[in-house]
Amino acid sequence: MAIGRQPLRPAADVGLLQRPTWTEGLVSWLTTVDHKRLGLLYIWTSFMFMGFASIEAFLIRLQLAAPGNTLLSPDVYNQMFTMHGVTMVFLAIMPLGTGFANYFVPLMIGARDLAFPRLNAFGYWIYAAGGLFLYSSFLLGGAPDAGWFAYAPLTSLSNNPGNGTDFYMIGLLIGGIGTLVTAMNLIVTIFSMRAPGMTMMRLPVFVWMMLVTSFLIVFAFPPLTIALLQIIMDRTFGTLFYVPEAGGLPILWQHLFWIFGHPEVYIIILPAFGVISEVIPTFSRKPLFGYPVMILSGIFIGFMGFAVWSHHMFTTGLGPVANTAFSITSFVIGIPTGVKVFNWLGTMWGGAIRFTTSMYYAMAFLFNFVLGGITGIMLAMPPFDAQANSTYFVVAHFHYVMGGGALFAFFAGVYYWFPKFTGRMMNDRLGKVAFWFFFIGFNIIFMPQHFAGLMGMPRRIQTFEAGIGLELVNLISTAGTFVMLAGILLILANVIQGFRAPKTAGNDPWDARTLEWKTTSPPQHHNFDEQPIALDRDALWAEKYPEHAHPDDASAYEGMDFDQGGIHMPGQSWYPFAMAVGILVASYGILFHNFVLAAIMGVFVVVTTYGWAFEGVGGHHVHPNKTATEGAHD
Amino acid sequence: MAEGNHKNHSIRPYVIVAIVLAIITYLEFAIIEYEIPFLGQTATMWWLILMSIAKFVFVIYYFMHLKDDDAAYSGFFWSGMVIGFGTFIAFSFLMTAPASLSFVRTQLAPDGQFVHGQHAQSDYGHKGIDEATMASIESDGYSRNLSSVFDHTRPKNQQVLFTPPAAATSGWTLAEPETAVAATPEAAPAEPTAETPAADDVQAQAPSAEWDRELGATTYTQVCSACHQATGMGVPGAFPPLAGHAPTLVQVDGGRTHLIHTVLYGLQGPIVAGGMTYNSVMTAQAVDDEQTAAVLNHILNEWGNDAELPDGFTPITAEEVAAERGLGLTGADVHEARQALGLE
Amino acid sequence: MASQAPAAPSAAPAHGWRSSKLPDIKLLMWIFLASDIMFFGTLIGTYLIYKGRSLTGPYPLDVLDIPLTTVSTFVLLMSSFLMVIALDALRKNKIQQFRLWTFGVVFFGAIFLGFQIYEFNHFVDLGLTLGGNLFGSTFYVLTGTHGVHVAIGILWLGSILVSSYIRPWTAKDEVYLEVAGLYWHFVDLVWIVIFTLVYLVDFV
Repeated sequence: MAIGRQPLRPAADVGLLQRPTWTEGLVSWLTTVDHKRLGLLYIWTSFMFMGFASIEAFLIRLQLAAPGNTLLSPDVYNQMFTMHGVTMVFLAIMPLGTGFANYFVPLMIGARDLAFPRLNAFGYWIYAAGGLFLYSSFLLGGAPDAGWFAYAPLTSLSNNPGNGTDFYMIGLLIGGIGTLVTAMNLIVTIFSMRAPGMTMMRLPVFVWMMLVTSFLIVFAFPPLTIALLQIIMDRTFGTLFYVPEAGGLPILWQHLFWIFGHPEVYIIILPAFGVISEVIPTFSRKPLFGYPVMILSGIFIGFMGFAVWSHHMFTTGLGPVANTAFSITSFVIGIPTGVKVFNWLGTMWGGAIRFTTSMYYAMAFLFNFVLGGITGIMLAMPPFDAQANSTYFVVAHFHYVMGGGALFAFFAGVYYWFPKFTGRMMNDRLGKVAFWFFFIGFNIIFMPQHFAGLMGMPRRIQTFEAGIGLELVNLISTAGTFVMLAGILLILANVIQGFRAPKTAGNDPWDARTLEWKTTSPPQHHNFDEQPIALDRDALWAEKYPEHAHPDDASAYEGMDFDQGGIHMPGQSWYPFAMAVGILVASYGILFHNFVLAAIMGVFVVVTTYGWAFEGVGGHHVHPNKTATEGAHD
Repeated sequence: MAEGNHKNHSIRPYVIVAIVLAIITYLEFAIIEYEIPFLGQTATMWWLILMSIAKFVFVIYYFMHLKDDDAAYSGFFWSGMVIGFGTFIAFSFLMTAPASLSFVRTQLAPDGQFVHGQHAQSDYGHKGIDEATMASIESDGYSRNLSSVFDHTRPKNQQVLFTPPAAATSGWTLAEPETAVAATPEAAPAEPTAETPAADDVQAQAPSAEWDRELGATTYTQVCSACHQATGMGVPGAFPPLAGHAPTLVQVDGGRTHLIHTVLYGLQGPIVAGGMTYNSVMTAQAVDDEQTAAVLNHILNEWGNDAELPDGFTPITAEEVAAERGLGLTGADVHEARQALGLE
Repeated sequence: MASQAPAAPSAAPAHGWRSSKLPDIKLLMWIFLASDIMFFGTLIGTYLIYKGRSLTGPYPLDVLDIPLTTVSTFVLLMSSFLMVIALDALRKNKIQQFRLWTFGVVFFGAIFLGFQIYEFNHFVDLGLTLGGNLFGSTFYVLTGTHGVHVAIGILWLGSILVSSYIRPWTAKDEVYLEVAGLYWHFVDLVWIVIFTLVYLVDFV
């Protein structure tokens, strides 16, 4: 058997850096490989970036409050909307999903950690490095200003001589490495670390959606990486990929970007679907309606996600045959999405619904997402798209999907899982007040933008003329930001209050269905004292209410000792952090054309790779139930 | 389970596969190096692709053990292959055949020739669509004007993936593409029958002396290529092609003047070029008389356009350009004049 | 990508339940390879789309040398063959043979890389540069990325070879060699495609 083998070296501390064993303080966080700590790091970091992006959005709305406003110069305005988009997509919403996955996938499948804990740590640090790199552009010569999709030839050296574009290209490139390795890690984890009895068709839907998302990442990020590399080569080494004068085709960038970009939309929304599929059944006290169909629709959405990219390019002259084909595939993808929406409604139908804050967000998700979905179907028609393309109608559409959809779903997740993170309960009443501000504010901002778009207001404009009928819609939209801001402040107050609440949550405050609620809140380092067993689909419910489920016979597992010799916990390591720092510094080397520095850091990265490999997985064994297990053996 | 098998596993299959791979590699080399007389270009291409697929499959099934290994590995790998292959086939199709309708129609033409206007017209008849309806369909800027698709041959380098470089004939002469050599014997016998060879030579060489080629090329790069692209192909749907289109303009009386006006005053309104309808704005260009003449001659002689020029065509001169200045036309006026000439 | 390779020692705990009999690290490698298909798919797609769009020479027919590349293709194929032989030897616990064949892989890989360096130098002499024309840009970036993969493979297998002298490798360690081998074969697969689509079809 190839499994269960000793590492290359015994777990003794060999290598350049001594294996750290801090359990508290800064070092323990820098060297942690614990999936729960990394999950929290992801979530906190993405909320930090979301804060930055919100400030940028706020400035954009203030600038557009009145015609002819001069609060932001066109140049600064370009940087603001570019960084708002880049941050929200790459640094906030997508890592938020990854953070939830990090924390809950192992807990939900009854595992003790991810398959490759150090790779997981590396994934986080390189994502953080990418974000830091992108944001350092504000201090080092201007942020990227070519839009979040950075269409060529706006990014060519002659059109965009500043450093901003380089920051965008290299920042996304290194951030993408982190996303890729984490996705691969999750696939292996879900494949080989499920609890006994946890067959694929018993996996919680969130885990299923993360599996589909991870495959999407694995297949969608490489085209982006190569496209970024081509621009970096163009700008740094004078290649001609996107130089029209030499025969290069700027349209190629659009294709490569959207071959990545459309799956990226599902990379963001599928984890959100997963969260909703956990929240709604729990608070409806009913199993998810149509579980297998939900899974299959998720897979189908993921697969079709690769076949629709050109609907972002209807107006680039692809010709009627291509436009028709991509219009049809875009319509087709609405079917599984509709199936999902009806299944969520079917889950609530006849359920004993508890209207908690989390459930409020889940239902608001349904409302917003259906609105965004319908405008999406409208935009999938090439003739309509030709009219609405690059107007505020599109802006409204994708904010309803990304913000009103994915973000609301993740907020539902935060309220749902906060007791598990902390062991404390958030104030439900304050949460609901905050929710109404947030929800109404969101709709006040983005609903009028549909009409602004239909009246012909283009995207990405720094200001607009008076007297063409755009004043009122923009003023309403800007006014909405203050309502939403109040909502955000109330949510912050709610979170702070939550952290000060007493630890009264207990293991399972919501009477929930999945295995993460079986362990303590917050979960101890090794997650479960005893290896959990999944006897039915909603594993915890099957355990709590066997009379309502049809669980397997538990006696089949009786007397089996899954944790013989103790639970193995991997050792902490400096190398993931060191490697990420090395790559970060090397990136600055490439950006400032200091290739000596880049080469030195390249060697440093190779050295850390060797250190990593020869350090081995290490770790120790814990024996939470020592007396109990011994008793069983005797 | 696997280890027990490995103990007694013979390496003979690996040796056989290695030998087969070596032989296929030699065959690939041989088919190229010693042009096999009875294989045409297409057949050779297919044999090459088949042989590399065979090598690919041998390596993946035997060397990478996918044949006997767990199905999960195959699942991962082939899902990557399917998505990758599907995506990039579709993507290559979109990039190389942007005018996809005419691409399909051209393929359907039975004799491999481009169908001409009359046939296309009768196509409408079959479908019971009258011309007024067709005109309204065509006016949206997205659908193509079918009749015009077949009036002009499409520029060669836009159709298929594996064409030799279109620009290979200009300048670089280290080695002639073999395809070009192969084409000459067919073309050679046709030459003597076409008028007098001597006159042809004079005509082919005459223009070179009469305009500043260098100025034409640099002006094109600086002023025109941003929209019409260095290849002269434009951007389908946005900027019309000049390759294959510009010479059709000078075949009409007044076409020369129209070309000059387009540069001096711009052009605004729906036009048809290369089988596609365009409806956008070209602004008046800030170029002097010398540059205008040089760049127009450059356009009319580049990308194989020179072959389609009418007989006895003389290069446009700076004096001609100077005479057209100061007329105070707008882009819309130029478009009107264009339609008056019978050009679409 | 460097991080992929020697991150090898699996985190698989020595004990505990697994829902799959497959080694984690081998699963990881296959997923990485599936992802790498998309990397090279994009590079090859770009190359094919830009084929024939270069405005100035040199063009593929002017520089590509089929006999030379056939030899280097053959060398890479044979290194792939030695790779399976080395794995087979390790599985049968024939350590000396395993070292010999692994050395063979590294050696052949280095020869291939040598050919490529020679080829690049030669092409630059012929006037084909990174920023000279589109063919230069696409060709160097495509084959250069492949060359970097080969170099990482050489480093990886070389490290395995060296480590086999430091600490004994036995049949138990088979999966670590197998994973390196999968990577190596994949590099070979990519070259099979590049050899056909970049080199041979131009001469049809």
